[in-house]
Amino acid sequence: MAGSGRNALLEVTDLVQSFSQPRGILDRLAGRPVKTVHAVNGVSFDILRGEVFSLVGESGCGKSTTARTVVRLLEPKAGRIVFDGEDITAYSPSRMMPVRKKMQMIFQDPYASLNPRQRIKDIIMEPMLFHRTVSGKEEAESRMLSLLDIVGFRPEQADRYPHQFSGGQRQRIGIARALATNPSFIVADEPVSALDVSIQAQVLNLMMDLRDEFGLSYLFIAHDLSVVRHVTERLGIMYLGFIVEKGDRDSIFGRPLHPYTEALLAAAPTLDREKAAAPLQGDVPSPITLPPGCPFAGRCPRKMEVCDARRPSLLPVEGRMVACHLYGEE
Amino acid sequence: MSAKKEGFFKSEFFHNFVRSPGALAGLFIVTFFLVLVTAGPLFTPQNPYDIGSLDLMDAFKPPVWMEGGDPAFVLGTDDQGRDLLSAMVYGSRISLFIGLSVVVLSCVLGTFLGLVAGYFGGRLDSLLMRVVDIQLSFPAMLVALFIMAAFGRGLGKLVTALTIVGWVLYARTVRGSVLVEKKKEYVDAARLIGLSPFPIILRHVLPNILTPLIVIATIHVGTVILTEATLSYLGVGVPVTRPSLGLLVKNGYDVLFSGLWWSSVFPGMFIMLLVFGINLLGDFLRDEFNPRLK
Amino acid sequence: MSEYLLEVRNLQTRFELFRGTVKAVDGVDFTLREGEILGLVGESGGGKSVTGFSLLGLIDPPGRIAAGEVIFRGENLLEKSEEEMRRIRGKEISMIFQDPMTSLNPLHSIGRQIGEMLALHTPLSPADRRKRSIELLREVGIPNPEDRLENYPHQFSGGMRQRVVIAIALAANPKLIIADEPTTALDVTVQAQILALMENLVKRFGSALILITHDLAVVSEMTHRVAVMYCGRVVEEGPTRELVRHPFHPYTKGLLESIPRLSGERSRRLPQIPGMVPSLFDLPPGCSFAPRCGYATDLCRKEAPSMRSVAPGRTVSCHNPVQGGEEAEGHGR
Repeated sequence: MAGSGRNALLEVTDLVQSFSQPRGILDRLAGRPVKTVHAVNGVSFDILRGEVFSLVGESGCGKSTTARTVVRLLEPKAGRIVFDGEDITAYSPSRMMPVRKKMQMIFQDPYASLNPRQRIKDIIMEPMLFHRTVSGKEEAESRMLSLLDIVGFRPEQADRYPHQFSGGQRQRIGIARALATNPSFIVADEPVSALDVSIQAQVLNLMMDLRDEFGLSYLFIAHDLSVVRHVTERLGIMYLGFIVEKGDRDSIFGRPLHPYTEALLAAAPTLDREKAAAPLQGDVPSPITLPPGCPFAGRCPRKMEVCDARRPSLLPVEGRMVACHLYGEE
Repeated sequence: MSAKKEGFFKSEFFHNFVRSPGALAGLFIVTFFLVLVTAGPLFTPQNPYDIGSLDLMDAFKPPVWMEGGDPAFVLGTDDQGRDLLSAMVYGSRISLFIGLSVVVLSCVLGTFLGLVAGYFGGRLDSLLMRVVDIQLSFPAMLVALFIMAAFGRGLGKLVTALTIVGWVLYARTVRGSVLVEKKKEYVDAARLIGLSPFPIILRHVLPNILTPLIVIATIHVGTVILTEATLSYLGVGVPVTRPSLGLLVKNGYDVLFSGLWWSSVFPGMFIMLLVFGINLLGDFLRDEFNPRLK
Repeated sequence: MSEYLLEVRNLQTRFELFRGTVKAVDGVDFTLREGEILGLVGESGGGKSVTGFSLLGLIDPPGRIAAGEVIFRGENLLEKSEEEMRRIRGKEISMIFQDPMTSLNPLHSIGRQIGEMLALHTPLSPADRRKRSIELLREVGIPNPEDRLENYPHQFSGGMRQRVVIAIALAANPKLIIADEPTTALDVTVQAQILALMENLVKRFGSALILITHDLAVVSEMTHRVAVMYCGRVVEEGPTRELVRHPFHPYTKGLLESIPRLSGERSRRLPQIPGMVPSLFDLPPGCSFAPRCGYATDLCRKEAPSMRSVAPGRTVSCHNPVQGGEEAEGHGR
């Protein structure tokens, strides 16, 4: 496993995130307890310089929340985030400032991620001018134009507004904004899931080219396994706020060990197969009351008695980490 | 729509505007009043505020087309010999001034509080919204009446009272819009840059909630003019020396049943026309900016 | 009577908008046999959803169906009155939408919503309707259907809600179901459940299904035949397996290649279709795909191709179809 110190750009240890659901006046009068959504329950991973690491899972598994907590859009409830050698877990907004330059984000919804009232050039120049990574307006302008060129726009398109572009184009504008301050780390939160297939390939290719050109590291959040397989070196599979399996791409896609990983792979529609295997039954349980044992026990086709009683911990099995009672320990 | 590129006159907004009879009529009426109150005083035969120019001998003259009418007083005169047409031009001026200044003030105050409450949430938000709820559970007129009764008459006091009544409208709408906008990813992007809350609110959130504000503000101008008219009619509005349209109606009403109908009816029709025009414009804007009708 | 359950000929649906006329569906032809599953696939703006709505006459102004025939069991649906169509919708042809939350009424219990459908289209008595509702819910895999009849849509998860929608769609035993992106809003494992369920039920009830989706992988797993749409036209049609393995149209080939694979070789860059779907307000002259096509010639840029047969059961609308139905790259086993 890629351990600490081995040139990790980002190290996340035992990260916890939860939200209390707002109670109405009636709830308070009735003395109902605060409901807490346990979104992320002790997640650890690291990302090496120049590496793509993916978090995969279905909606509500906590992958996006993890990403948002890592970049400190949300305050972590517990755990440690070390970025580029600095422990940024408890940094104040002002201490975060120099770090912000180095970590940026690409968002899911190209229609909501650009301010509709800002021109393209202002969207891209705002981060540079704010962080003074450029000497002045002139340098900002020329850097903005070269960024637009990199993501495939002509200079005269800089004066337009977001609504004049298609979804794929907007996503490329979002990428240019993320690159504005020359970051080393980019969180990509479902960057292609809102795009058409032919446009998906364009955006993925662009992201991979940029990574080679600028030596970027990505935290890639996705639900689409085939996309993840294409872009990533290592990945973690998440379920109900836990990482259930974590390791490098070839071992996980080659031979998934955790029953959930297996089910996820079997359920993904593909061109290469006549019929999907028997689908997994049931739905993801509520993250408000976590099951005492394995989070996946309720739907697991290979459930044992111990699974309801004790939560399995992430242990090394066959060159990767798996949290499942089927493997390790005894 | 590529409105910004091709210019306003090629935009869909303009296209629809010139094809909407209501909007055109509204624009015509409002323009008429704006011209009237800016240039009108240059042409009115009398300055109704100048007591010295009034002559009690001219009192109660009927409109010019009636028996006993005087060509100097086209719409007749009131009990003090004031030319009704001149009084209405000056009265419209006061009504519009009150309408616009109350809207600007309540819009600024309500928007600011709504932005802060919506963006930060928490206790401040709860407190503010409770105030809004409580105030909205009283009829606006009653609140204004109470304030005016406590303060006494006066233009400034009237504007203050109506602003106190009016800001809640904006605060609530703005807060709602902010709650929607702040969940959008462009706000996250701005936070990721490292911008502090106030620059984000002003540069990113505010420009995106202007559309509903414009609609509310337009319709609010009409409401304020009506409220002012009612307050003045009830005798707690503008000072008697500077009658607004509402006060003119009241003055006329006192003598209405002696057959001197004109000094009440004409100012009344003016109020109706002005508010009607504003509402026509407001309705058009609301339909045009409502994404659900698109 | 023809051999087909549904025959669509030269269907044209247009939208008159401020910026001009949009030919959202521009001369679409396809056929469907009883019990057959047809995939209608393409990217956004391809016209696949509008085609679905047009079949049921559900096009509101500023849109209108400008031409064509929709022959369902020997009768042209486009000539029917609104009154007659209302009797056909739900009973003969029903529709399943992407978002189950908006196609269910949040204020009515699901028992009431299924019962309504049954009351409209079947002669069952209230007691029988209740029995049938329970049966239907069991059919779509909802546990304890007796207890869940009184529940409201918000008390179900996304996947369960889509099951309820399917139960309603099946209630009157329709001959044809049109499903518009029925699993796009769902998670992969739930999507797999719903697709398997739909395939199963369609077989058991003997209905035909038109599956409208952007996802070629979903289509390839459960349809018999596919029609690929681009800019309002069907560009290629044929049996699913053959079409996926040997696409004739360069667009189909490009789409298939740009999907990353779950197994096999992994290329560093994905093959991509250059450019983007043109605006329907100003389509290029000739073939709409020509500006993005590697095989385009001067003829393609001047003259739009028409549908022609290139192999048994395979039709394509292209001047230069991919030779002999070339194998899509990265798809060899």
